[in-house]
Amino acid sequence: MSTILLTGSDAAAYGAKLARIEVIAYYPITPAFPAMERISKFIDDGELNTRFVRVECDHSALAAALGASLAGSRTFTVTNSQGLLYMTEVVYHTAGLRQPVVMAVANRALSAPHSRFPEQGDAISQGASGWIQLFCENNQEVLDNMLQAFKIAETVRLPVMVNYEGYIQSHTLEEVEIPNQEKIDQFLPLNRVRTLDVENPQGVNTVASPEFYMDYKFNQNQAMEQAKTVIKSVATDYGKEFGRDWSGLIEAYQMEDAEHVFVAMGSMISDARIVVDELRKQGQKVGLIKVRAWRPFPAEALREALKKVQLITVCDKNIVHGLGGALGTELKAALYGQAVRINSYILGLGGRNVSTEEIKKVLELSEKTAKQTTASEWFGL
Amino acid sequence: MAKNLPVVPTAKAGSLMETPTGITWRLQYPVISETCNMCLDCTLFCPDGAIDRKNRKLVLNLSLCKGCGICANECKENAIQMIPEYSGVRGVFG
Repeated sequence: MSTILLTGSDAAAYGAKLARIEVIAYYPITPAFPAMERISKFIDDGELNTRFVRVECDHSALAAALGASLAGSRTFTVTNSQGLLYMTEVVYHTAGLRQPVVMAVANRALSAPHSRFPEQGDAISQGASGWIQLFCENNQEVLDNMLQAFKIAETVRLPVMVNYEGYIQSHTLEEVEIPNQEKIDQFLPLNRVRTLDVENPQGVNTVASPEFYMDYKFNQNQAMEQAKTVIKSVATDYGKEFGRDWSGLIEAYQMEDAEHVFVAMGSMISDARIVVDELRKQGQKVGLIKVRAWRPFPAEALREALKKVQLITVCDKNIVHGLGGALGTELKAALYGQAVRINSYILGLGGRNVSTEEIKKVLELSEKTAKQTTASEWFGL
Repeated sequence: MAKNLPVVPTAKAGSLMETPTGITWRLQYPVISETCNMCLDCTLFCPDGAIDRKNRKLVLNLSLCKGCGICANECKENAIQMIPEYSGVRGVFG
């Protein structure tokens, strides 16, 4: 066990190394590429026994990863924004074929207009794909979530995205504790399931008539429901073993007597913790809910955690055009019938800065807003 | 209750060859009534060659028919009826 300075990309690469990935398929894209660079260095230095598949595009990257996974290997890839969109067809294939591929996504804004800056819109665009999606608040969580992702994926047989924001996390150094390899090997034994077998040839992704398709989808969604329990228990087990419990689907911070609660996911959370602590010192009853797993959506956990509060301020670094922020909209749906005012704001798109100052201002604005906001209230224009 | 299916959507290799167009796809199949006047229009319109003439009668090859219903649509005598494949909510494979 050692503590070193790592970027989010490096943390993802270290996570993949500790998980002893067997295949990585990758096509370069910014800001995801440093994770691939670090992994290729691990391979070159003889520290990691992994087959690196070079491909001509992101669609092929995930297709190669999917094939490797069907053959039974522990498989990883990393991408962001346009690359993720280009993969989309195979994103759905991987989920429908129930392969435990883990993908790190260094969230970046989507074109057009072209942007290379952080935002969560790319991951949000895959919200219906059937991938489990975890959002990390800091680089330590990137590494820890990578390891938990393989455990979750191989238990429920669904692919997992580990999301961290481009640049804010992918290119920023933080102290990260690297767990002991032997302890990781015990925590994460390879749960190999081979679908492709030369002794017993199978047609994969065969045509399913109306007689069967819906039943397959039902089973896939059941696995997503099962993941709600598994994500929680894996986080608890990991916490016991390595001393960091990232608290399952959501984390409640300073919530005991909270009246006004900030809800968000990703890098905003680490800033929001500072703001909440500050406001608490001034005597304000402010709390924080971190949505760690966006898929499966933790509706039950949110209802339970937010049943006594009076005001919720929910912030989205994404825009679902014609609807509003994804988390805000889904939170309102989840809390339907509960007596609480929910103000939702869209902020920080395409790299517009969200620091502790902005979070403070948005909380103040929300306090002053008498009527509940619409789904598409923009902050910081 | 959902059907008991493999976790990964797979099927035995070559299963599509066993049923060329596949009754697994078909939602309805044609039935030719006795009012047929043997004009043979349906044999010309059928895109899969599923209707043939044998001993002055029309014969259906259901392993080729995908249930499109073009034959019934084209029949001037209304002598072809499309009948649903399913026999209840669980269907023929229940």
